[in-house]
Amino acid sequence: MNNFAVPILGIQGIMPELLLSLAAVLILLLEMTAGDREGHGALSLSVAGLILAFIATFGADGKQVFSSLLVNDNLSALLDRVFLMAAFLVTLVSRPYLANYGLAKGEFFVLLLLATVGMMVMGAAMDFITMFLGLEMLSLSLYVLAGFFKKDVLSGEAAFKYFILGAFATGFLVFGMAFVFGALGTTNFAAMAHTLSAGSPPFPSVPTLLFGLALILAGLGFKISLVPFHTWVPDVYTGAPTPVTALIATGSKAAGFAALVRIFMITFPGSFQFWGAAFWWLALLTMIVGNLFALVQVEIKRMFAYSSVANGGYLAMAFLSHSDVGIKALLFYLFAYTFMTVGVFGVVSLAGRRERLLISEYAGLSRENPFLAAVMSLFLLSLAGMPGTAGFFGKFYLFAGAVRSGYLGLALVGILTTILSFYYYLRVIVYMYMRESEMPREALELAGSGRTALVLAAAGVLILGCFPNLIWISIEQVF
Amino acid sequence: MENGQGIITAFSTAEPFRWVGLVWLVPLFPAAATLLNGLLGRKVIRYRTGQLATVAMLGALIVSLLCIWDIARTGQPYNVDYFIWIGVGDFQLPFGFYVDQLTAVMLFVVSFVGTVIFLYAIGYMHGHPGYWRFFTYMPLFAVMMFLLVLGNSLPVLFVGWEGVGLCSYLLIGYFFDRDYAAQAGRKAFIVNRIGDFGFLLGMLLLYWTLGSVRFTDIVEHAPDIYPAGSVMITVITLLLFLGATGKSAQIPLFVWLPDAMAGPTPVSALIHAATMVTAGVYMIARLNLLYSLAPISLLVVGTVGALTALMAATIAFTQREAKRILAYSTISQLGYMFLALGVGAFDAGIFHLMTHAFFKACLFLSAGSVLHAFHEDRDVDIFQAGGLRRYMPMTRLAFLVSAVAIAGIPPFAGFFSKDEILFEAFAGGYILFWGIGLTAAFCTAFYMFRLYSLLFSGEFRGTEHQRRHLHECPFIMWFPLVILALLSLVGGWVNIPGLFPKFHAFLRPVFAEAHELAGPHRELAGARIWEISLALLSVLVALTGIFAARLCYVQLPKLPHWFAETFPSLFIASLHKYWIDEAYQATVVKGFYSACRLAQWCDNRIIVAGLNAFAALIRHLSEIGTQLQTGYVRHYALAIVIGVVFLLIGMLL
Repeated sequence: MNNFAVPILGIQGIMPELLLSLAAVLILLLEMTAGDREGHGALSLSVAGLILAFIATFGADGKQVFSSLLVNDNLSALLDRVFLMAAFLVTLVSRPYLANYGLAKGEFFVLLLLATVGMMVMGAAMDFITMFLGLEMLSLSLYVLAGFFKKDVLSGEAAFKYFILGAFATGFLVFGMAFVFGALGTTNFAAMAHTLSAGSPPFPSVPTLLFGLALILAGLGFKISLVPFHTWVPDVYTGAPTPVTALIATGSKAAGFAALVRIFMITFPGSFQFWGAAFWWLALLTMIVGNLFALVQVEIKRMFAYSSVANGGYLAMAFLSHSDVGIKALLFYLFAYTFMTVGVFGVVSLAGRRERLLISEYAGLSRENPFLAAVMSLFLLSLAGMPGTAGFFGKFYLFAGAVRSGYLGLALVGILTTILSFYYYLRVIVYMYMRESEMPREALELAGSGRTALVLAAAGVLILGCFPNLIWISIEQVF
Repeated sequence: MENGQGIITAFSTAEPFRWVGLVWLVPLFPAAATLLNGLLGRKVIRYRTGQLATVAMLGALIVSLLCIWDIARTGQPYNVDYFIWIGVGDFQLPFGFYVDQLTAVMLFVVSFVGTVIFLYAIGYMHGHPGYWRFFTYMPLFAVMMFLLVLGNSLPVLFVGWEGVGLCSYLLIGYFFDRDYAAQAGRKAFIVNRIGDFGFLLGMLLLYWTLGSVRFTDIVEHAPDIYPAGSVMITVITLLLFLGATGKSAQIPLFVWLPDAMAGPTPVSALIHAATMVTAGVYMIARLNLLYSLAPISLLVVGTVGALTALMAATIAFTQREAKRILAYSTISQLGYMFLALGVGAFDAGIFHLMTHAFFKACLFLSAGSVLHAFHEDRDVDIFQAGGLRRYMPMTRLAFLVSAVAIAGIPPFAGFFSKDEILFEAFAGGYILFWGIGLTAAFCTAFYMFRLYSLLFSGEFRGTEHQRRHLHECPFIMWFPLVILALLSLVGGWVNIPGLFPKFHAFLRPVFAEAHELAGPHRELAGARIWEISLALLSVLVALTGIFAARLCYVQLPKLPHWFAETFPSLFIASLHKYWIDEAYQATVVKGFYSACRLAQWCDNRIIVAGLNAFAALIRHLSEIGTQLQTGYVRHYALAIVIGVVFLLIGMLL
């Protein structure tokens, strides 16, 4: 009967996504008609779209729209805000960055907006089909963005590797989805959960379902760069234009965790007994490998690439905690992580006229550009987990959640590796403040949007570090 | 908690108004002076800082007098909580004041002697660099001392206790550019820390076993919780007494006080004679009930007091510097007070505390006046003085009155309080304590008149240059001397045994319970006869001491030399202060340095080396690990496949 019913469109349910898409289309039109050499128009439109979309996320009503393909609940709204904030800050940093290389073109901002829409669709998906749609929208945009510097070999290499390996991992993901569909006969999350809770067929007796879930975990593990699915991270993060790296490290990773939460915690809560033990090892390895390998890096982007892997490990630990506290800690850390990571990559974007500076080339930055050095120090201290910054409460909730769920050993490793991370984070501060620069290094002019982005990110780090309740309250509403 | 409303309860109570309710103003006045002088003293207020501080102190004195009058009139103690100071779970500690008769006496001593000494200091400190600094620290000291005596729980008392210690440190090191002053400040601080450690342990033990550190709770519950003579109460009281030995300069922690004379003389008078050093006496008197439950502790207190009284007095025999002699005299007199506490005569101890504050402050200020005449900051060698009576008549008179008072000649103040301590010791059956006290009384009279004779009698022995500059101090300095000298004369009349025992009657409610528990046997057969004959005996002893001193240092100046040559060991032992500083240096200080060197060795050779090795290992691992990152996509894809296989195995098997 339903087959003939007019689907409930529910435009209001996808308002944020629509607004962003509209902004993307307008930028394309602007590019074609008026010509927007310096990217000011694209920046303005992007910013307007992002802000409007951010406001629109407060209209979450918990309803499923488009025949239950998407849901508009508190969780998706909260994740949308993470994505939008990341995209907003990255957009602000991008224009002066791109202008430096003469590449401030509208299509960059279009792709950035579309990638964001992809993340939001992933966060709101209630069906494998929409989730995959969102994932591909995100991934394809990012592949192009990673290779945006056409003449830069490393940028091209990054795009190529990202694409090949991403396609490889996506293959596993789709394969897994197919197996799950085969086992349960539906792609809709609610329907799958319903089928399982009806009791037939019970979990262990369906190896195809578990097989599918394992492959999905692997596919998403690529997105969140769990060890050993992290191998692309150092090369891609280093090669891609730095603002793109920032987006990959924050928004894309957050989208991966959003999908994990939707599938493994909300749809298949009973599956934990099967993947818990294996995932424990992955989280452990990710924390150790990320922090350990970051220690000896000489190039700052590569170091932050490993640091991002390590942070993925902390987030994975929270996801593993599988408890109320754990998931709240995960969401909180996503906010904190977004601010500080976009912050460091923002500084890296603007600190030199050349890509891929060495850590030693940050010597004397405090003298030449005290503002950059100061906010960089703040973000680094936050990453290290210094009290008074967002990173402190983020880590505090993470470890508290892990301990409460009985993962004392994992939390201990997390704390030990955090101590390890102090070394490479503080090393940058040492260079900036205690070493003289050997050669003059020209920083970008910090006018306008770049400075705004860094100030906003720094404010976010400090506000979350002093008043964590501001975010915690909206997180409490999710569950 | 009925006091949870804090300020509201304190100020808008339905109870009838009591003047003692204004007691919060007492520390507030000097606090305001500290704040103003500290912030504006250097640039704006400058030489008005002294007047400002003195006026603030006068305000505190007036309010104190109102409070004392209220307490004397109603006889009711006043307990008030202002706000919850420390609230952790079930532990709710309010910040509040407790005023009873004992507090009243202390309030009077601190505010009155404080005001007089502040006034004196305006003249004495005139022209010193850092004048404003002096008058920032001094009111701060007053604030802390008021907190110490007013606090209604041990932690509040402890804040004051540490606060006066801090101010003492700051003021001893007032001439911080001189090495000896800085060293003396450090020594005082460190020695006091040792005592404070005991105090803190005692306080924590008390909380642990009793569950409260508020004085009202202690009085209420202690007899139920601690059986008389139990180990716990003995340990607690001994630990608290360790704190008292630090602050009040008793054996074994007395060594800092003589060095503390490096501070300006008003500091020595106020902090290191009249008020702060009596904090230990006050604390034990405040906790009299606890000590009454621990007879062993009381015996220890008494023994330490008696020994300190005698030892310090004999050291004073041979010292050459005026303030140093007075410092040993202070230690000795504090010993008397502890002797009184030890025999359970708490009221006698407090009585002596009060009279001692008057005459010792007067002695110090007179000595300060002499220093002033010598244009000297540190101290004066009494063998380079002499004959000052001609140049400084007011100073000499004040010094003489207070010296007579401390020697214990009736009707001066010291006679009444000291004689009472000796009588209580005798009556309580502590004949040995009495004997030591009497000997110390002789010594006191002797060294005090030795000091007097060498300073004021005979001919001037200093340089001609010094002699020409000798002068009487200005009015603003000798006026306080006169006030204190007057009090050294009449201060003891508030408690004339048999005729006018007002002071004891006033204090009786505070110590009533303790006296019942452990008081001395007051019904000595034929007490009146004993009392009079013992008083006569001690007066005789004091007079002997005075005449001996006059004989040695005025009539027959050869006599001391003969004595020193005949009994060199005694003379040298006294001169070297029984080598106690040297002993501490050799054992405690050296031992501590050795421990430090051991710790340093461990740190360098074991901890740092171990850490470095570990760090090298981590770096090595990291370098090996990063080689896994080959850059080939095929290797990366292989890693992904390995991950997939791992997950499949993990989930399906």
